[in-house]
Amino acid sequence: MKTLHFAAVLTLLALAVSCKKSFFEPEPSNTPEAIFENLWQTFQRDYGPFAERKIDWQSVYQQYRPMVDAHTSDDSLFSVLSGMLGTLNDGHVNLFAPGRVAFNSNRIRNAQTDAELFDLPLIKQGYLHDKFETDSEGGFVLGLLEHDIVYVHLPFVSGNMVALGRALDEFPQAKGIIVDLRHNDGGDFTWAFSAIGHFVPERRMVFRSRTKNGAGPEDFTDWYEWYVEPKAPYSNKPMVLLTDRYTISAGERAAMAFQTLENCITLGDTTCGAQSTMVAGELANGWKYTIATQQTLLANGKSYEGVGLAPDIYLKNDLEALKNGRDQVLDAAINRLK
Amino acid sequence: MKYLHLTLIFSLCFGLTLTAQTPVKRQFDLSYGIGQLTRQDLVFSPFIQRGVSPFHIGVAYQRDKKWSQQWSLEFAAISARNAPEFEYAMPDKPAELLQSAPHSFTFVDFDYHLGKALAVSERSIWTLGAAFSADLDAMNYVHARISNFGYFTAFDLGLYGKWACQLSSRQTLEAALEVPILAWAAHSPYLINDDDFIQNTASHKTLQTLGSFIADGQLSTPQEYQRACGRLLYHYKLTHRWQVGILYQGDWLRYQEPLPLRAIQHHLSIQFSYNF
Repeated sequence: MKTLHFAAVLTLLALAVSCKKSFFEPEPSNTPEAIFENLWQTFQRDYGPFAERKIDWQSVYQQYRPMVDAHTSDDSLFSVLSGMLGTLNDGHVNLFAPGRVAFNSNRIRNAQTDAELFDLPLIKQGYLHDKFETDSEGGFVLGLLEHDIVYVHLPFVSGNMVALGRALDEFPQAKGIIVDLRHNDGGDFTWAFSAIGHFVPERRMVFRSRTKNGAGPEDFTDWYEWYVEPKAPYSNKPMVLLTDRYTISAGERAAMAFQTLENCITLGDTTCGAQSTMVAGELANGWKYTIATQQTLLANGKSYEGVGLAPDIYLKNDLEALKNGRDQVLDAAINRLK
Repeated sequence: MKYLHLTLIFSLCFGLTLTAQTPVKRQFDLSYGIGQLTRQDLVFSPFIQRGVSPFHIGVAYQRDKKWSQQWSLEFAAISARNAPEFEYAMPDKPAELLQSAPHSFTFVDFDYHLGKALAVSERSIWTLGAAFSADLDAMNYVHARISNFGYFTAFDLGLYGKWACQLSSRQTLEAALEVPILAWAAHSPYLINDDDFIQNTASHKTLQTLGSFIADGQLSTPQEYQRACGRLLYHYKLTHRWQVGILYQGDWLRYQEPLPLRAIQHHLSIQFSYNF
């Protein structure tokens, strides 16, 4: 009887090991052609804003697929995949591979065009005279400029957004607030909406979004409306929001919320134009990519995906002025509020 | 309707606990060991992730009289990958090399077993009964600069069987199997960060977020949710109070919604038991 029990246990273990292969779904193959197919098909199935970006993904396939065969080297494959993803010109689309600089599909971000036109150290030293608050992650820079104007820079969107509430608490005498979202890399926009609640007297719809949930081109979830809810203490101080081409994703969604405020004007450059959420994936050779999976419409019913949010007043820094210690965009914001 | 299902499952489990008898034999177990994970979750990746962890810890309390009851709580943290990590750089800092990281998985499992000895011989006992299990899996799929948080939770009711054999006056061998038949299961949505997911996390409070994820789950039958948890334990009696043992645990999971999830876990632990 004991032998029978042992035999039963061993048989079960052997079965478990032998069934392991069929237990799992087949994995994509690790060949250049299969990797190309896997990436193209993933975007065909899950990429959200094809229509807004006016991309015919099938014709992209026709263009790039012949460039890959069984003998394509890693260098060539990276180049072809980057070229294919580059047609989207989407700041949410990236490709990562060993020993390489990551590729970003947005041409401005990838080439770092005009990236040097924002200089936070200059603001800390030249405008705040090194008197500012920050947190351990460098999640915000909060200080008082001349003319009693509060300055808040937010490099990403997360728990750091509480700096907006702190600005109200710590500088009640301030004439106005400059919220600097230049070079804001995004994050979780719900933190921003919570903080912007201090500046709305009533509930406001900001945008609606929907997410791909199937393989068909029209397989999306229902539209979901996102609101900013009022939050104490309420402030109606005049505000200036600063944006640039590197304000992206949740940074743009935060900008959308600020743009619903009557007492807020936007100054600077148009935002990146990537307002979807982003998820990441991996390829059979270990490379990683990111993909945008949503469609987003502003409260006015229009999509700004691929276009970006234009400022009320367009202004770009001049490199020479910046080298001479002047941030002309910030100067203009101060002049509006003083 | 979802809340009705959840209430029903929890009521049944609570009812099972109340039907238990006054204990006469009690045992407390502490186990620590290594774990191995093989997991394929098509919500996150079509690839099979593999990893080994030196961190798997469990505690259990058992009391036996006419009925046998066991409560156990286990925790495991495992890093897993389908390809080696690598160095890369970002366009804004091309000279600064960054290191990619493996995906990370955290598992918390609570189990309750209620069984009755049905076949008792001189050296072996067969116990059959019911099992309740609450499993929380938190995942962080890391893809270079970007990571996606995900979850899988299951509250299930099922059948439980155990065979215990007295090998000698000091040695025992136990084998047990648990198979759920009904579950309340919740899994990350089709494309991970959809609006419902974002709304669920918008409170930025862990328990509230977890509650929202669970509430978004669905009642699952063996058609969508298949699982088997087995264990094999060799125990050596050191004194009349203390035992030491080697414990193997295996967990096979298949879930279909919204995309297939397959996972196999093996754990090998050393277990210390105290009888009182």
